[in-house]
Amino acid sequence: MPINRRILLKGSMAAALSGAAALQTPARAATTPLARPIASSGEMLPLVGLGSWITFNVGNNKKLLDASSDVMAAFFESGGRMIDSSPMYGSAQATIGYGLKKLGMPEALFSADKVWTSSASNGGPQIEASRSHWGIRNFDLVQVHNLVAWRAHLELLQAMKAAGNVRYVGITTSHGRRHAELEEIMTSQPIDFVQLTYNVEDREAEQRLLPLARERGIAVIVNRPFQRGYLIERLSSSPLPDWVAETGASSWAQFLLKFVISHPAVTCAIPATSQVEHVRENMAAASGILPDTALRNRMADYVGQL
Amino acid sequence: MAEWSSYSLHDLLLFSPQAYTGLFELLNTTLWPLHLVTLVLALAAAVLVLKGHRARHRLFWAVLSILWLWTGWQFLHVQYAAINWAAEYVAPAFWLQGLLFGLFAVVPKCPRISYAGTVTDRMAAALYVFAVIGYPIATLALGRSFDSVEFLGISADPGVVATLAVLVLSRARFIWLSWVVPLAWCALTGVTLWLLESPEFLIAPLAAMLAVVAAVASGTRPHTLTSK
Repeated sequence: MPINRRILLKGSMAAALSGAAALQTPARAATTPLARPIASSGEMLPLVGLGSWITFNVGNNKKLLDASSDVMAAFFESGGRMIDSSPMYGSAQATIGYGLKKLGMPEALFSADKVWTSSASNGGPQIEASRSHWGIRNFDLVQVHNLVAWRAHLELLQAMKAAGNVRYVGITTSHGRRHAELEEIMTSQPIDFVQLTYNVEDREAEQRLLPLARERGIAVIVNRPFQRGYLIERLSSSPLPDWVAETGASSWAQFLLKFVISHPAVTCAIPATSQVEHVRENMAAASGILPDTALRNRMADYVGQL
Repeated sequence: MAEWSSYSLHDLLLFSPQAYTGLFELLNTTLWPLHLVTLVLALAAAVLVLKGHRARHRLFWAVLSILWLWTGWQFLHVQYAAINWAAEYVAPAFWLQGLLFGLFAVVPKCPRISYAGTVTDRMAAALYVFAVIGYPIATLALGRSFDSVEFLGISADPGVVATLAVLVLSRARFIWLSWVVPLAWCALTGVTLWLLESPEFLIAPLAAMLAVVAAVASGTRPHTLTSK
C-alpha cells in the first residue's frame, strides 16, 4: 500500500503501542466504522472487512464482475479496508483486481492474500501471480493458507517483510482445524496476524487462541462469522431479540457480527457477500455499541436455545 | 493437500449457483451461432446411422472426437476452470476421450454403430434426441434463464449424454473403455448440481443409468455385433 496511507494512520500508533486495545475510530472516512489497532504496528483496521470465498469467484462473466465491483464500491464507501482472498478461491483474486481497477485503486485498501501450495519453491511465484491478479504493487498482508507447508512459507514471508515486499505476515486456519498446531506457531513464530474461524456457535478459539493472540500481540482475522450463511439461514425464522437493539443491531447478520467483533482479541471479521445491501448491513455492524461480556453471553445463550 | 479429507463436500464447492449459470450465459453469448452448427452435425450424424450409410461409423467417431476435444478445451479449460480450478484436471480426461474416439475413426477395425430398432436401440435413440434437443428444454423447464440453458457442443453435459447414447449402439471388444469418462462426468456433474441445490442434479446421472441399463440389456443380443 502507498506510504501516504501509512503516514495518515501513524497517529493511531502511539495508543496501540502503549498496549491499548480499546476501540478507536479513524477520522479519515466519511463513514467511520469502529476499528482496532494491529498490535504489531498500531495501524487501525475497521472491525469488518470483506471476504471473497465463493462470492467473488465469478469467472469471466462481465455482469457478475461488475456486480462484484459494486460490492467493493459499497464496502469502501462504508469505510471498509481489508479485502481477503486466496489462490484457492478460483477467480476471486482476478475479480478483486477488476474491481480495484474500476474503482481507481482505492487508497483505503488493506490487501490480504494467502500462499497456498505444498511446494516451498512455488510459494514465491504464486504470491507474484496473486499480486498480478490484484494489480497492486505489494500486499499489505500475506498469510500461509491453512498451515500448508507453513515452515517454508513463513520463512519466505518473513524475508519478504524484511525486504519491504509485504507489510505483515500471518497464518490461517478455518473450520476449527489444527488449533493445537496453530497455537504452537503463534507461540513460536513472529507473526503479525492469525486468521481463524470464530462465530456464535464455533467458539473453541475463545479457550486458548484468542487469549494467546492478545498475549502475543497478534492481530486476529475471523473467517466464517456466519458459517458461510448457514447461521443466518437457520436463525432467520426466529425473531431477533428486542434486547439486542441497544447495540444498534437490526438484523441477524449484525447480531452475529457484533458478537464476533466484540471479542477484544478480534481485529477484523471478513464476511463475504455478493450483495451491495448486505455489505452495507455488515459494515453497519461495526458501528454503535459493541456487546459487553454479559451481553455476549446472553447472545450465545439465546442462539443456543433456538 | 493432505488435509482435504477434513473438508466436507460443501466446503469444496468453490462457486455460487449464480457463477455457475453465469458460465453458460457467457458460453452461449460467446459461441453463438455455433449452437446451430452442432445441432445440424448431430442430426446429420443420426440420419447417417438410421440410413445405415457405410461411412457412418468413422464419421460419427470423428464427430464425437471433435466434440470431446472441443468441450475439453473451450468448456473445461477456458471457461469452467476460471471458477473451478479442478476443471483444469478434468480437461485432459476429455482430451483423452477425444483421442480415443479419433482412434476409433481411423483404425482398420472401426467400432460399428448400428440402429436395428430394438427396445434398447430405441432407448438409445431417445437418449440421443434428449441430449440434442431435450437438454436445453429440460434445463429451461427446471428454472434456468433462456440465456443460460445448456446446448450440445457448448457445454459438457448434453454432449456426454449424446455420447452415452451412441455407445449403447456401438459394439467392439474394448468399447467399455470409452464408457469410463462419460460415466464419471455424469456422476461429477450430478454431485456438483446437487451441492448447488439445483433441481437439474438428477438429469445426467439418470441419463447415465438409462444408458447403462440399455447397454447391459442389449449386450445379451448378438445382432449388433455384425452391423450392416
